[in-house]
Amino acid sequence: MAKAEVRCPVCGSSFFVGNGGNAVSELKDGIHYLIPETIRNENVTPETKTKARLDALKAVGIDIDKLNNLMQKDDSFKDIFEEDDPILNEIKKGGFIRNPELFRRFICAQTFRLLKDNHGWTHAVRKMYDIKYVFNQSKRELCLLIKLQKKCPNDIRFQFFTLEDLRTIFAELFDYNKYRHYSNDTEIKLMKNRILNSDSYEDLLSVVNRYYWRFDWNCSFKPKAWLNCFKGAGAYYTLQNIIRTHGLIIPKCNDMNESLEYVDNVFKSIIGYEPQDRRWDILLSVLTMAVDKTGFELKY
Amino acid sequence: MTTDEFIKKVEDGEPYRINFEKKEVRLNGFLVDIDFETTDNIEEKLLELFENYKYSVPSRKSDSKYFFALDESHLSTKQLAENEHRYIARAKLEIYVLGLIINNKWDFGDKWYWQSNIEPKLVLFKKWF
Repeated sequence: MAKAEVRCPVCGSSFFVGNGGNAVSELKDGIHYLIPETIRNENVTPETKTKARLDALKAVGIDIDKLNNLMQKDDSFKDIFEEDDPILNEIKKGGFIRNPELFRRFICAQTFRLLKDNHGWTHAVRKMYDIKYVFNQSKRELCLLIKLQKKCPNDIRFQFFTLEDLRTIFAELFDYNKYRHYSNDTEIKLMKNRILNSDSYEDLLSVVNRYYWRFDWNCSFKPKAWLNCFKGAGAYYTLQNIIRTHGLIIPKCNDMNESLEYVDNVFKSIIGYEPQDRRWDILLSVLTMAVDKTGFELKY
Repeated sequence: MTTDEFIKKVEDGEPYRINFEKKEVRLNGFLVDIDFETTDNIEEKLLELFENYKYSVPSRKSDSKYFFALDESHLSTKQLAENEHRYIARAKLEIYVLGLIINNKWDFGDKWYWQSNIEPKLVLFKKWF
């Protein structure tokens, strides 16, 4: 018998009955019922499924007796692992496992690269990054913060590049824009005020995208507001990364938890001020002091 | 111009371009003549330079069309903090191979490629020479 199509009057889905179809008819109390494949397989209990999986594992050559204890809720992980397992030892000691794909590990690598300079962190930043990098990085941060607002509005990432900071950054950058020579002085003032009077992150983005930006790569640009924010974000995320996974302990503390509390206290005392007066130098000095006194080096 | 002067200019930030087929070197858009020096231990130095390039820190438009390099997700934080920039490591590698091409210092035998035993990703092709 060939395939025939049947349509359900309630939900509208179609089934194929016959040779090669996905539905089967059954007789019950004198009425034919159509049963599709999905409902038929619901009679499979979880016990039969696990048996099928265990048989498949046995065919490959894996020991099954150790796994049976877990299924009977004995809670003995130690039977599976050996005694000298390095991962288990790390869990028992600190509670954190090293993860090479950790969140914001590029910032950790970047700050250590900048700290190697003989003249200091700010000198290295001015040597390596120019005005184009400042513009692209602050614009990228703006777009990311707009996305973060919807998912998680209480994130710590909003404390470094705040709205007021971004406004001053773009206003400073506008003074070095080559395209402003095409307009009058009054128009320049109007354009700058539009940047400084924006209400929200989305407003700022729309204003920034409306203008043409072109910079001279040879100009001498001294960003003050941007450097401050960059310093704060860099120091905070490297400290979090190092303390949790690389094993740094701040000199006056004994533990990982105590050093995390110390960093949190410093962070909260800095946040108490307004965004223009925040002194992120203090966080960076905590980092350099801890790294110099303990002789810290990255392990992996 | 020697190879050391060329690398110093690249480290200062000048844009460069190296082509194996046309056997050209361009600095800032202009053609440049380079004097190559001959050295011993060709294979060892090639391996050194290739490992330096493979584990280097990438940036935009820094990969070469001739050689293979790792993505940044395969590098650890220590390597990201200590290794060279890929733009400079690529210049060192490609200038050295150009020197071998111009002086014709490689034996292929009957094959059309050469692959090293230690590092299987390092391959040299006969059509470059």
